[in-house]
Amino acid sequence: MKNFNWTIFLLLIALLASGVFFIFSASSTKIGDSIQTESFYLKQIFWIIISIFVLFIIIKIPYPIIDFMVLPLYILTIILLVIVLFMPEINGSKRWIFLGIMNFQPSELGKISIILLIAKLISTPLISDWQIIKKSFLVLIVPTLLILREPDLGTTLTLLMSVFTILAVSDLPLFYLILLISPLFSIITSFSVVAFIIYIGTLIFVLFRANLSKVIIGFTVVINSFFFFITPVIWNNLKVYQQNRILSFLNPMRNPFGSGYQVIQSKIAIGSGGFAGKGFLLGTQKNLNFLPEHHTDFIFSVIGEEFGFLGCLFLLTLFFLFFKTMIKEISALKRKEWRYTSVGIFAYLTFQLFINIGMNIGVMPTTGIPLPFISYGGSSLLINVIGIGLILKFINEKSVFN
Amino acid sequence: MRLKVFAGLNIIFIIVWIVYLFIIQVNNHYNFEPRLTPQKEIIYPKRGNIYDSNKKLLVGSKRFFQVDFDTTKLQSKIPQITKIISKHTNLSESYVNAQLTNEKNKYIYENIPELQIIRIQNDLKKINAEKGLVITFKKIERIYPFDKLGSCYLGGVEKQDADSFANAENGNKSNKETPLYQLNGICGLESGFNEVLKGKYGWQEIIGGNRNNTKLQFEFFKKKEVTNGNSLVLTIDNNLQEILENNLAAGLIEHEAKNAIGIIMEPETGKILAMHGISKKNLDASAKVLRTSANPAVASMFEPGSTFKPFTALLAIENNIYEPTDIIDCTDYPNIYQSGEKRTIRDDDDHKKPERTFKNVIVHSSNPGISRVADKVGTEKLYDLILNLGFGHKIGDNLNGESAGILTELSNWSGFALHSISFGQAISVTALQLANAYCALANDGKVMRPYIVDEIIDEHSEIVTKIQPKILRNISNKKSLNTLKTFLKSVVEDGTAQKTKIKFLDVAGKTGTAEKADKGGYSKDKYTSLFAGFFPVENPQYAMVVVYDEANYENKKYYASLSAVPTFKDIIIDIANLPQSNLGNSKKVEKNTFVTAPDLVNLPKNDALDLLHKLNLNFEIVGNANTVSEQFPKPNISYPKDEIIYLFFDELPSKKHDLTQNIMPNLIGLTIGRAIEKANQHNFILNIEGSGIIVQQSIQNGTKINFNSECLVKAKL
Repeated sequence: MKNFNWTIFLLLIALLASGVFFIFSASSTKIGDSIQTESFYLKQIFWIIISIFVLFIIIKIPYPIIDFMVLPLYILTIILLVIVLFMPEINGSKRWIFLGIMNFQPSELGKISIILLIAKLISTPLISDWQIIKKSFLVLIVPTLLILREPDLGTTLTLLMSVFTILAVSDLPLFYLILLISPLFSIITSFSVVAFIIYIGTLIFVLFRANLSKVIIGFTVVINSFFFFITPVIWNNLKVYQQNRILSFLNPMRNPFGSGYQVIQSKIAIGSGGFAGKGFLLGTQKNLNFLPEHHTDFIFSVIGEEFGFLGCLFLLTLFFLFFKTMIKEISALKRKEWRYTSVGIFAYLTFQLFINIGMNIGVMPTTGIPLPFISYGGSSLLINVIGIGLILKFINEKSVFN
Repeated sequence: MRLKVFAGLNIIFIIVWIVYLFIIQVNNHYNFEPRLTPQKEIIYPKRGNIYDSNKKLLVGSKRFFQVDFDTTKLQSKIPQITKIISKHTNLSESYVNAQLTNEKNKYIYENIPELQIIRIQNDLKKINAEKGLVITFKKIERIYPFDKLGSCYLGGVEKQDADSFANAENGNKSNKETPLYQLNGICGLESGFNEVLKGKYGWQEIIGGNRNNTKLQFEFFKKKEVTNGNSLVLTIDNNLQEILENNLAAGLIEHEAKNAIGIIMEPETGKILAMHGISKKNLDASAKVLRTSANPAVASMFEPGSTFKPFTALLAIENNIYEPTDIIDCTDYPNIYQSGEKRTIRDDDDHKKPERTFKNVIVHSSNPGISRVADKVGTEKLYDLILNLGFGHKIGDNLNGESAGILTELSNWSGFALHSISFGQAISVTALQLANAYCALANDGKVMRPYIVDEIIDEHSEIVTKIQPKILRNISNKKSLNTLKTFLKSVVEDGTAQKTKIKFLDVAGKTGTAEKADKGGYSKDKYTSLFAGFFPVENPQYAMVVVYDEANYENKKYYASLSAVPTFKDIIIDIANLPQSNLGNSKKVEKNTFVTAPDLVNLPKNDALDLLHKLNLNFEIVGNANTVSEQFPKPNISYPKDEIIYLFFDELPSKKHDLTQNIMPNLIGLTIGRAIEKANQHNFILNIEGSGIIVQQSIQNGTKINFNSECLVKAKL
């Protein structure tokens, strides 16, 4: 443990501790002089203790054992993701496996196991570019479809995002990356011919400048045009309510009493917090139950309401320091699979942070993504801390294996 | 390198979020003040109840609420909640369960009465699930435990939207989509006392519209307490009301009349004890229709016919125009009036008599007789008396729908009107006015204001207002009224209303059979049959008027003596048969307080009058010398305070002073001591045989006696 990074660990503890504090506030209702607090913060403390314990176990386990467990863990994930589809629905989706005292989200486990497997597979020496894409795709496709089936769009996006980040920092040529995300832009621009022409022109120009073969450029153009043409066809074949659902997802304000309700109330809460906030336990939006799920996905709005801009700044600074310290250490990792794994974990943590705050301040769709380390939730916390544990282990052991 | 780009992207994102937070939290944060402006939730007042004089509930109200249930966080308790809601309502468990588990809405049921809600709340508290219950006011309904009983004076209510509340209370515009709910009285007491009954809206500030649709409240939120409506305690005695209604309904059918009206009042106070009016076409009408119809007892006008004769007679007595025994010409009375009209006033052939005593003019109801009396009385006096008795204008205390009746202006009274009015034509009265006038006759000339609401009480039964009897005017004098009472008593005993005679009770009254005005004259086959009277004569507790409109002509039911009079009697018997009744109990507790007559003999006139004024005693002066020569009752005799002391100046009382006051009292049942007291009071000589309680008296009670008459009584142990 001589290389153990205490800075990261202490910042983690600081984040977790402020999480407990915010959960206490968020699950309290103060009306008049009476305060009623639900016991979520105690449960969170319990989970933090377990998670820290697991974190140290992971640091102590020799790496070969972890390496050996990557594939079984992935298979276990797939099995659990199948089982979860037979579980009862909660709020319209099947995400939880009930194990008596604790409930478990297999998709959380999926984040770690998929990242570990992909990192391991693509760090094989002399692997071709196509192999990287092919293997990543094959590893991703089954669990992604299963998670989408739950449905859990947030986790799916997080997963795709972190895998894309792994590929982005790998040795994969840039045009593959462009190829991977270019259909997304075709879909976006498909609503305007002019925008699409500008986009496709820019794309061709960039690819020419990259000195790529005409075959590949042609292929890219064909793929993009296909998406350009197929999107309006699909769109027009959707029922009105399906179209509305998509539009409301992209712009919550379209439906202020439905899907936009939470976002609007959350934005009001944060905005009304002002510079210094309304004070501990005094958030009216929270107390009056205008804010739903305020100890889980929307905890940031409670922070914004009760502690104002200063509170948000404090929390984001904490995250900034935490991520900054971590990225510095990660970039020092030489062993590819460690580096990829760490980037993957790092990416899904930051992605969750941005999406969560984005939806709390009303600029991103509501996708059910929690605020890492802060939101209440046992399995998500455990997986996040395990992720940090892995990164700390790699940092700890880099001198040995580098 | 790519990792650095990625790290840089992350830093940019964090900065973007911080900037955005700065904009909405610091720069712009007033735009995000939450919509926490509390809304006013209206609390609906409970409309006051109406009770009869025995505090029996006549009209109550019931509030209904919509019940919703929010099962958030209470999912596990759904089976228990289902049982509780189903237990206290008529809803089946399967229905309640289906509603509770329905994800789309929280609605359970629309109309659940207040009482059930309280029970549900209490049971929910036991399992800690009361948080989910959301109740919303829906409506108020009036309930009538006695159904149709009293419907004619109670009146009905109607749901009206009061939208002025919000404007008046807050200066805000009311929400047009949800107007305030209000029941307003549309007739009867409900309308007349609407302001008392309806109460005042309260409100409380709440925050609504959150996701669970629950209402949230802080202690510091403003609040205005709701003021529930006050309740009315009526002078109506429901037992009497029931008797009256039953008898009128039976009479209406028996006498095949078109309408029937009855009213019972308490002479001493002017309290209306019962009143009712029905018509043939409404016999089977629903309670709701009856409650929204006019109240015939105060609204319907009719010509009072012979029931008006006593008023003319009273003036003749009061002004010493006739002695009861004076003979009056009762032959047909042909008249040619100033207007040139000709009319011969005559009696029906079956009771024609060329002459009658003054008393019998009333007892046997002679039209020419009373017309001749009226000639001597004169128009002005009769007009004043009629006006003072309350005819021609509204007299009731907030009696909704009351009519004024029709009384011709004095300037339009030709001789024609004088004659007509003396026997109750050319004037329209209401049953209430007639009953109240008879109350005045029974109540020593005090014309009381009739009233129906005795007390106004708040929701905790604390008295808010107690309505006191009010004397409107005084008429005549006690002596004259007592003479008239004997006339009216004879009507029952020997005259037109012998059918009312009751063994155990003295009743005074007068019949009336009035031809109904028809096109251009009086109808030959349409009559109003009525009887007005009071009882017991000695100490009148009740005055009553019974009216039948257009009773069957062929069966002679139109004669008051064959329709109104029997009903009157049936009602008296029913009242006397009530367990709590004290009618027919011959030994009455005398209500009067007794005073001792001061010794005034030989005092100078002024001193004597000063003393009497000081003692606040009633007196009358006979003669015009300066010294009191004799007094009656004699000095140191105790007598009822409201009786009159007669002071004689310069001459001794003799037979030529006919003191109608002096009537032989009932001595039977008295002790000898009490009998001697009475003899002193009434100034007759008492000869006693035996000892103990008096069982026989030689001069019958009620007979007029002169000073120093001798009465022999027999007493037995």
